[in-house]
Amino acid sequence: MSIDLTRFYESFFAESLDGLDTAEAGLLALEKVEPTPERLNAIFRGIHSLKGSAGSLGFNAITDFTHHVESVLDHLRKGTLTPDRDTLDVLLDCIDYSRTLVLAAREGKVADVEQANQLIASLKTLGIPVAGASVNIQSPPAVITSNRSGYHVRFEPSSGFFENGNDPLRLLRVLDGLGEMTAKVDLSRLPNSEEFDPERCYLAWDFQLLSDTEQSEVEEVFSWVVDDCKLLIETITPAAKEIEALAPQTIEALAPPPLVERSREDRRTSGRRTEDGDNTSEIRADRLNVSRSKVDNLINLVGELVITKTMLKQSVALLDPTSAATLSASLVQFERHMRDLQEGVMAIRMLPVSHAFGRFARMVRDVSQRLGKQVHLEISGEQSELDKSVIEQLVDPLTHLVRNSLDHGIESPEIRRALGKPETATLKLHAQHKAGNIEIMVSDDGRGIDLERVATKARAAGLLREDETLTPERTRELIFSAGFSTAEAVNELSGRGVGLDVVRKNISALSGSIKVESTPGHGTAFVIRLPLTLAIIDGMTVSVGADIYIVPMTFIVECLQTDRVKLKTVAGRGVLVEVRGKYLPLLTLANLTGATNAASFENGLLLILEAEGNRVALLVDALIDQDQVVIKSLENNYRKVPYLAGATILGQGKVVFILDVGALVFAVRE
Amino acid sequence: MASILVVDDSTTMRQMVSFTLTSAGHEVIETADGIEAVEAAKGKRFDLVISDVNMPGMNGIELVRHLRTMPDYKFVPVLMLTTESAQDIKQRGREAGATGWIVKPFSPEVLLATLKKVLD
Repeated sequence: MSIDLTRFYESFFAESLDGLDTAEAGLLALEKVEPTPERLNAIFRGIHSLKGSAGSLGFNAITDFTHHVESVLDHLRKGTLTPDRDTLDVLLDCIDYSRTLVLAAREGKVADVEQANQLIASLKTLGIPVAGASVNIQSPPAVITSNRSGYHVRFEPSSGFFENGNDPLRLLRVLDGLGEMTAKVDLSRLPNSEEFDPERCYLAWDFQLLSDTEQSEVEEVFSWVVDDCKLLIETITPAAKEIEALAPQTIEALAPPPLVERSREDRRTSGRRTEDGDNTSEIRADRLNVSRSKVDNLINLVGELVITKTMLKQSVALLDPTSAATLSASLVQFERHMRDLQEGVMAIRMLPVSHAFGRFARMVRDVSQRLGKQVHLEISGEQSELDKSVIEQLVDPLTHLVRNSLDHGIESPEIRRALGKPETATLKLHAQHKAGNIEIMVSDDGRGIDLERVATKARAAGLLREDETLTPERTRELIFSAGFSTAEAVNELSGRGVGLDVVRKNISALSGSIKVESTPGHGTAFVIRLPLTLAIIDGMTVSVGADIYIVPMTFIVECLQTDRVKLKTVAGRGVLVEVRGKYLPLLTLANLTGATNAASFENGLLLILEAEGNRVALLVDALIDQDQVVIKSLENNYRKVPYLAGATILGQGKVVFILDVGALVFAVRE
Repeated sequence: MASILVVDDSTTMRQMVSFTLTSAGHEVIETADGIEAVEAAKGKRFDLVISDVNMPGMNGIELVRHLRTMPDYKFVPVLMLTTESAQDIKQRGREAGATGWIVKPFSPEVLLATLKKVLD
């Protein structure tokens, strides 16, 4: 039967990349922790599985390359190779290249073969035999097994050999295929005719096989009959070959000790594995691989169901409470189940944030090495879960912050020593759940933000007037401005024209916020706050004139009645409201969206919103409700509309818009 | 048509084996390691078990050993499907009670032919 293998590709690519990530993380951990058999096995398995699957799917470039890596990892696993820095460097490069191979396969392309050869050459310099090399590490007196002139094989089947369905002739044919073979049959066990049982095997053979094949291949031929026979495989050295006529015993005497008896001792030359200690604590539950679109579809359906529930609830509210008592009670239960269902479905897409943190071990190691800095990466709270799509979009901003810290924040070991700080700096990645949000902190114990310097730079960049003085908070905010960078020299890592403004923009796009704390001389901490999921949010339904909008709860600081504040008009800055001694810009939707305005300032309410560290006051008529809303993308269903983050459907089936608070605040500040 | 328990920690391999077998009309249950496989075997007597060797948790060799202690599985054929081709491991597989050994990369043809041999 023939099978269209392409149907397995998707799963293969995903699984392979995961496996490589695991192996990479494992290798990196070896720099710090004891290489236990479990750890080494987990690393080995990543490559081992890749090799196996790739072979079955016909990705030969991957199989061939990973075979070399696997055999080195096998030595690591058996303790015949120590994971020192050089070894890890080469292996990490191999992981990178394997990744390249998988990605190339996915694109239907061919990866650079030259690089493979270089890496294989590097693997060979590690001082152990890689696949195909010639030293048998198991036997100290180095039995040379390759480039032989041939083998002498003594094959003596047990008398019950046929009972297990074995056929000596088949084995002989296979052996013959390996090289130039001469066979001598040994009839000495043959009984006389009275005792002869046709179902027993009485023959034995001596083979002379002239071949360059690896000994393991010869062994392979007999692999399934090994305990149904006596087997001796010995090598013939060129010298011994000349005296072919000699009996095996003599050959043994001439070439000590090439005689290898077939036994449970391992004699395989390379690529040998055992599953000793294959007992990692990583026990996998029954796993399903489901395509993302199915899960997304499910989430959409649950969203629809949430809307239907709201409609139902509103209809029930219109009924006479006494006659609808049972219905109301059922509805309460329905609501509870609905919430459980929603949480359950959302949980499918939740992943531990370690998926985003994982890659930084490698990056910090490589970058700090290149910069000549000593950095210890500390990761905590990586088990906190977050929506998969949020994690994916978090990687870029985090990468930027980590690079920023390595590049600008952390000092060189010399400077640190002079300052009395430990030479090895600490870079921390920390995640924790906080009130329906997740907080991610990237912090270092480096030089901190030099406020003087920031102010000078800002003035030079025209972001500040010459005479303007700043609070430390405001100054720190400046580093998020477009076109701001304190990097003295443009370098490979951070100075590519991408500033922290982009980081902030990315975080805002996830309905999140970012803040920075810093103590000069002691370090900097960036704190990112994100909602756990992007699909369903807590929203405040507000009315503005004839329209209804949803404001995501994460942005709402407080709500004030208009008679508690004072209005003030400032030339060039529009209308400001004074809230407890601070002046905030007053935001009315009319001038931004062309929507109807609130009825009047006096009868309205002020929502104090905060985004990206800035606060504004939004004038609305009334607060209607607070509930979970399902976000429907405008871009997917219509097109991107400024100041709107999306839409949702309310109970009555009415479509209402969700305000993009980040964009609104930004527009007002501008 | 036989009911077959497939054990492999690699999703890709599981899918490939499973697809090959179901295409040939067999009924397949997939599990990702030895521990799950034992659980599955407790609930149902399969006609055949096909297992990977190198898996986290309980590996293939340990699985065979365990299955052979279960009265229902004393004589059920167990095929090892693995990239492991070293003799000592095969030997351990045999000692544990494995019926046969198929070395990856596997081809559907070889798998089905072996299957036929073992099941008949």
